[in-house]
Amino acid sequence: MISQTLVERRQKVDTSENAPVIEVRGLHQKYGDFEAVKGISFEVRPGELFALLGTNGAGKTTTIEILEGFRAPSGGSVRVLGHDPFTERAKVRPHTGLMLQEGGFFTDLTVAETVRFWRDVSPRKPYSVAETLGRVELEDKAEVQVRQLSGGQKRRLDLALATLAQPKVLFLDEPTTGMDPEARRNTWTLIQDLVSAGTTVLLTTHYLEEAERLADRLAIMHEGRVELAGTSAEVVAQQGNRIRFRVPDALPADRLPLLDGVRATTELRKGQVTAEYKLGADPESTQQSLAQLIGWATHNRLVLDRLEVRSASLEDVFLEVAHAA
Amino acid sequence: MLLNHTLRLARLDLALLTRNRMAFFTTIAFPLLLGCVALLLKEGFISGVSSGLYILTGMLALIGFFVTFMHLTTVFTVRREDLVLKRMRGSVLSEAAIFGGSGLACTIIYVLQVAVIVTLGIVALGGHLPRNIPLLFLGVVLGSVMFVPMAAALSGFTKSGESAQITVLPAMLILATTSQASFPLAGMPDLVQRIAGALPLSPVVDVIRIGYFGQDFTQGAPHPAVSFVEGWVAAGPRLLLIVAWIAVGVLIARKHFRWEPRSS
Repeated sequence: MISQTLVERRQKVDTSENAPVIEVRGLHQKYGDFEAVKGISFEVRPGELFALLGTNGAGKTTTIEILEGFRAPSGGSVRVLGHDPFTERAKVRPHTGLMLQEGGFFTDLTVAETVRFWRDVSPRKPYSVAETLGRVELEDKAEVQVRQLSGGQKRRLDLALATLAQPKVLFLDEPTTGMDPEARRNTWTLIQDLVSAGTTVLLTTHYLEEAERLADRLAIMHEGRVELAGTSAEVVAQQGNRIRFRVPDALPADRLPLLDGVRATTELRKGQVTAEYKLGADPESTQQSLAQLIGWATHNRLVLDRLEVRSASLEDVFLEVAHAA
Repeated sequence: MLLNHTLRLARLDLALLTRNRMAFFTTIAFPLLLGCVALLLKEGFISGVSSGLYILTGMLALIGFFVTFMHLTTVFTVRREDLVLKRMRGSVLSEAAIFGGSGLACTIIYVLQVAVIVTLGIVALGGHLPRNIPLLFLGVVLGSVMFVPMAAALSGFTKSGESAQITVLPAMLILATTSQASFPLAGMPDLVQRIAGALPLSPVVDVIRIGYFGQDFTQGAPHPAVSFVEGWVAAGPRLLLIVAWIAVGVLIARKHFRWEPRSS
């Protein structure tokens, strides 16, 4: 079901001739001597969900906050719906919704009062207060003071506020941080529904599963630069396949064979040595390497426990990028 | 849109006043208390008018300091640190609506306080209705408006809601002693009187007294009686001075007001 809508959506996105909703060109941002963002460029097309991934301090929040119009960039240019979000805020704001990384509530108000206030000043009111709370499953918290909500409940309230005007563009800065697994899944469904309805979303996240699951395209940032970008399949494909197994006891690591010219890396985990080969992305040569490995093991009368072959995950890619520096 | 947003924000701010003990004390309890102090002075004269009414009219000006300036310094600081200002700025709310809404809520409270204290003066001090109600009203409103950008500016130097009580203190001491709100400066050297008269609260005190007594308080005691029209003429330069302070406040606020905490 979900994968089908994803495919449909991709087609819709790919065939669209509309101008990009978000454009970032050569963006630089300096804070004094510190350069938080060092010249990044990307585009988000209508109806697309684009994820910015990265370690802490990678420049994700700086980037999203420039797009939200909180500050002017030190260099380069950004456009949201064709306008400068900082100098033309009045043109952009009615069409954007945003979820800050944290906070921003009148803590003396109740949940319902908070929604009522933001709904009253909203340019469009497609949902009633009750419906707004229902979408993020906070109906039973309507009369609770915002200060008494848990971290995850505050994130849900934040998401409800960000989406109550049915914005064309949604900025989500770490939307599911602090949520329990069930709330996280519900939030993902809500975001997917919004994207299916045509909302363009820019999301930052630490959670690779979240990006893998939601994003049409993603960019991995590290120290102010975009290191990798594309669909998650494209990003992962650049990293190739892996073969892992437990090294049989008493076998010296230097006796492991070369596969396709690649030497195994070994790692000691819980008293067991595990070997890993990082191979190319070509399935055929991976298959040959695997056959070669099994031939070698059979010849040497070795049993390869926990043998696995897999394509690289987004996590592998992410860690690779994060540790590259 | 701007008007709707401003009114909605003002309504929100009025609702929040009653939920926060500090805000309630600063804007409602303490100003009333100040007004009531004047009611104890049933005898004697200051500067040619009854001491009770002299103090009472001074308090009408001084309570604006608490209702608008002190309260909004706290509000802007707390909202900045709680990232509420950031959320507002990321929304459809314009900056004019954000400041206007909070300013309007304070001004409404201030005007109501003035009405209550004038009434108490009539009942307990044998006072009268203000001779020039529109002038007094304008003085009160302009005084309140003046404190909005000043509070925004001071919040830029204030780290937390608690420290607002400390950062407003120097301004409070200076304005309370130089504005003639509670005692005249007639005996002081000319230069001191000139400087004191140019500070922000002094013209508010003068305009309110001209409006209340129908006497020209910009001239030395005994202050000459003025007609309705003459009252406006006498108050004109003082009203312009308030407007000048509003402009100065806006300039300082533009430089020092912050929408986000320093760390982020």
